[in-house]
Amino acid sequence: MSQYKEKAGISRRGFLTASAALSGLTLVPFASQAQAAATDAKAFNAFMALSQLITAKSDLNPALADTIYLSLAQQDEDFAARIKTLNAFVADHNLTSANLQARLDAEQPDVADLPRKLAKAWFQGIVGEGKAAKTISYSDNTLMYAAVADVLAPPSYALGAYGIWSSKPPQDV
Amino acid sequence: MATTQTSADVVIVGAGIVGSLMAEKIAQQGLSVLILESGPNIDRNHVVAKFRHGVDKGDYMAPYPYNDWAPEPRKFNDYFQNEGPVPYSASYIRGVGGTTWHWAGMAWRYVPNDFKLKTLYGVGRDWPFSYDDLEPFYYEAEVKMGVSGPEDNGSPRSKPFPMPELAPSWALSRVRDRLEGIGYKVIGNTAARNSQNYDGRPACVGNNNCMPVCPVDAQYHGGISAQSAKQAGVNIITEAIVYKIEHAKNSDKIEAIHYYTPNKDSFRVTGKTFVLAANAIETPKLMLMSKSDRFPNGIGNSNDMVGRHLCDHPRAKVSFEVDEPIWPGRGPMSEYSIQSERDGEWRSESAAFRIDFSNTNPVRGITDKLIKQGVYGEELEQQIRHKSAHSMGMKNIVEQLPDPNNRVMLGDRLDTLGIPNPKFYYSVSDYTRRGNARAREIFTTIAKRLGAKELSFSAEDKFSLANHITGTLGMGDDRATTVCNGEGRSHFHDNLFLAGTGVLPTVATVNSTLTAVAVGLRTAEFIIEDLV
Amino acid sequence: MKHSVMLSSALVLGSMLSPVALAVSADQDLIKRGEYLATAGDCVACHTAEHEGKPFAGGLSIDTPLGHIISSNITPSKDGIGDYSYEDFDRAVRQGIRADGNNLYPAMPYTAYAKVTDEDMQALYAYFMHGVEPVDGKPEATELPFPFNIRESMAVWNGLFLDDEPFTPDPDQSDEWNRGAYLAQGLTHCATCHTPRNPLMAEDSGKALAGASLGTWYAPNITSDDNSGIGTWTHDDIVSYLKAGYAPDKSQAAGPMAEAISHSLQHLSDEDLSAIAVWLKTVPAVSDANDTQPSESYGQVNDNIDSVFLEDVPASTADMSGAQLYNAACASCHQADGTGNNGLPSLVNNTVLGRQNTDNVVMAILEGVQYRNHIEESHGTNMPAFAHEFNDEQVARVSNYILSEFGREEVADITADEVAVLRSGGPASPLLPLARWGMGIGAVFVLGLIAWFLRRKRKG
Repeated sequence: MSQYKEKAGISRRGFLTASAALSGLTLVPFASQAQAAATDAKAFNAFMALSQLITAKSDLNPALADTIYLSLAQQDEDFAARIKTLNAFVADHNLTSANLQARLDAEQPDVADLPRKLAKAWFQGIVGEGKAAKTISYSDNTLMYAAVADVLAPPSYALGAYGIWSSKPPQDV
Repeated sequence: MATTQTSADVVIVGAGIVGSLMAEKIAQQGLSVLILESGPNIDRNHVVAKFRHGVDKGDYMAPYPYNDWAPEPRKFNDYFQNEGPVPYSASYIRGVGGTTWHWAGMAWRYVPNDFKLKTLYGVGRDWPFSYDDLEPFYYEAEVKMGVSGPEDNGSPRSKPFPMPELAPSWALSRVRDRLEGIGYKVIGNTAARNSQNYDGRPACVGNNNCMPVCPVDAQYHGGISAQSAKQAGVNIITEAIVYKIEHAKNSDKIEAIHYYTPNKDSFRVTGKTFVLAANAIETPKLMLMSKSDRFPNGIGNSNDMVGRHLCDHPRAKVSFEVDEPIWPGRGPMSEYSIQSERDGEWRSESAAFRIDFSNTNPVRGITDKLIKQGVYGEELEQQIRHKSAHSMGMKNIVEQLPDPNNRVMLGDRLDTLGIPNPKFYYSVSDYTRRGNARAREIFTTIAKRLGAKELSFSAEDKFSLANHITGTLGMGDDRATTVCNGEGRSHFHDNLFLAGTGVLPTVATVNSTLTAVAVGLRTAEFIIEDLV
Repeated sequence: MKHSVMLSSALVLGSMLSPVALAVSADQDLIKRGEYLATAGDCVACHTAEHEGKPFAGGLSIDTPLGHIISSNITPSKDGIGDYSYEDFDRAVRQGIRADGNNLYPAMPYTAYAKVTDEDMQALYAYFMHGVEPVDGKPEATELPFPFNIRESMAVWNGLFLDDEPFTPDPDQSDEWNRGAYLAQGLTHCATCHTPRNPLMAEDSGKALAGASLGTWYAPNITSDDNSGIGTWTHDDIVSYLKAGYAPDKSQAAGPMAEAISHSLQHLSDEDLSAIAVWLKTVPAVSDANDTQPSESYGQVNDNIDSVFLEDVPASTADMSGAQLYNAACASCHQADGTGNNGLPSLVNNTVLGRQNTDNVVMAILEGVQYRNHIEESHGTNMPAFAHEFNDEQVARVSNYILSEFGREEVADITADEVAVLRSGGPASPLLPLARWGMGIGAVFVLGLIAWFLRRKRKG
């Protein structure tokens, strides 16, 4: 039976997330091509901290966190170092989500591309640019759709039985 | 690949919605029908999966299979060559079912006056028949395609729609109420969309994905037509790229059609009657390619009219924020519109149009913009929500007059089989530009009424083309300026019929599919009459 | 309306009305009641041809293990039952014997209709004689293969299996219960599908309503057993299911049940549906030890719905995994996590994915969930059929995926061969070879049996 349940690569619960929580981890028994990148728990923690800042969410989907981290790390060999740099800069300067991009553009242009990458991954479910771009989430977990999940479904998923769209949507927006 | 059947009573090029529905109707009379389709079979489930995996969800072609042996315009290729002042762009699908795999299902009829533009307003050209002549075929098409809509939509009808009008979205109801009394009446769209279970297909469940693919077949498409053609006994050969129409040695009769396989093996198919229904660009291309000593300009082109009079809808657009949360994106993508500007005395001076309101889920575009602006955190989520709830877009489906200079030609570039790419000369006349200017005024009036903020018009010299490719095979009584007669029969070859949106001599103010199907079903009767 | 006005006028005006008028209005009443009863009996379902057949004019071909049985014209025309006396009609409906003396095949559920009271028979007769539009034309005659073409054999069968006593109320039960029992055992003939049959195609009374295969669709156990049956369903669940085709958050009708609801059950009064529910809740539990939890208690929400993006879409649908097929074809309505949306059914905790018999999973995918008639109160969206989109292997793959992901994982072992059998209309019946074999080498035994039986019958 289990053959039907098999999912490629990454476990349900978010292996890295769990590992990072345990911390002190230096070797991840993970058969992904991003294994090397993934071993840097500090980088992953930095990634999670920044993800929380950019999304304003503390309950980010762990499986998605793994996928995003591994994908970004795979596409950028300096990702681990750069994400740590960014995290340190944000911490040192008490940056908020409101002033983050402007301050980075002015003061830390080397890592100024990272917030957009994280936002694009979490909110739009896409990692990478151009031909390397890849969809890693297209569902109510994709944060732009999570933001409106009480009203809209991600296009191609049904909103509901026929005529459901006639009902009055929330007006307090 | 099936190559056994090399002859049929009727040979049709193109397994799109028109070719397939004609094939079905003809086969039901006991005639053998063979369709040659350049592209492959298209599998809806696969397209849905590709769409969800795709990164550019605004590219409605991206989820469909692409083959360089049957190329079509794509973002990544330069299939179209352009020579005119306005670049002509269009997207179409070469595959079983054709381009109605992605459309918004709009199935409006023309209004009666659209058929006599020249007589009434002194512009454009008249059709070789009247609205009343076409009315029964409109109805036949509507039953086949499962069309729903408001009865009072400007096009008189002899029988009610096969199913009731679709339930209105909250956005439609609000906009309709808010615009009451300003002279532009808002009505629900007429569409090949199920408002109830119909013909084994379910009622719409609001996937809001009419383009690039309705994932549940609540919206009709040519793949369904091809399926019913097959059930009627029609043989469809896929990946058969037609490259030559052959006439008899000593007469004007068409005798055979030649096609390549993707490996460039060549096959010859004979028949009694031939129908070209390969879309309004590919069909003229094929006719122009089929040159011989007897027909040096190509088949059906002795008067040099094939490919000319290219029309589309060079639309103007506007977007803004409404002052209340209407939440577009619930229900179908194209849901409501204004009909009042489709006909009027001013039509002698400036173009008529329909105004279409967008009901497309706006979340993706809004998020894209906000992230580009560097908005993050709670603010990002709140703005996504706020802007999505208040977003509004409108465009005008504006009439373009047939101009012989606007045309499809054979390009210099060749595809992998050595078949030329199409080349265009295209321009937009002042008549149409005046229509767009008038539309902008109406947009502004409507926007004001809806308490608009952040009003944004498309640039005046930028046109959003609609893929409503018409005119290139225009029908008419005048043999000097048209390609076929009112039957769809080539002026120069008795047993050659033309079908598809190209035969519509004028583009009017609505999407061309329903009218092309109705005309095709009418043409099928003349074909049957010839053979039975 | 008309007749009630007439009746009230009659009450007021008394003797001023002619006896003829009174008789007519009373007849109208009877006809009306007959129509209701005919609806409850779902006569129209079998006695109307597909594709715009005229009501009750017959001509529907019914696939049975014996072969194709073609329903007859039961309109009051010369080609139908226009010449039937009440006695002829009664014998046909309650005993399965036509006016010409020939036996009907038990595709006609006369074993159930035998429960109908004399009074209701009169109403049915009045309706079929006066309320149904006569239609000329005899449908093709039924021609079963040997030996089933010997209709006399049915007389023997009837002797063995027909209980032709009309329903007698149980004085220990409420009126509502008795009404429900009367309808359910009689006209609505639930047992015809839901009770398993013995090798001679008779209902196995020891396992009443314990579930049976119809060859393709499976009519589940609807006894009061919590795990194997519908013991966990509330009274309202049952009424909703019979009226609207679904029990909220549990189950949707499909296949022949959807037809029974659309033709018949949805038109019954709320009181009658409630009565059926009351009775159904008391049907003795038939339990299968392999069922250890209620069928709607299986499954879990997929909490990692984006995992499908970890793999690219294969070039062809033929190479898609179960998860990929589910996402491409099913998730558009049932959603990526399997929970449905705003009236579109959840697959998690859905009875169809919680039974040992998985035929209905396959059948729903092949044929969709289609209602031939409009259902007044359902959500209004049919599930489309996938038979022409998926091959047997794909159906098996996606079925097993949804069973293991959203349902009873232990039964996620459907094979492509099993799908092929269901696609082709169900397993070939063992009856025909069995019967021929019986004729060949067991003729003496069979004849002996019949002789023995006939004697016994005469004595009784």
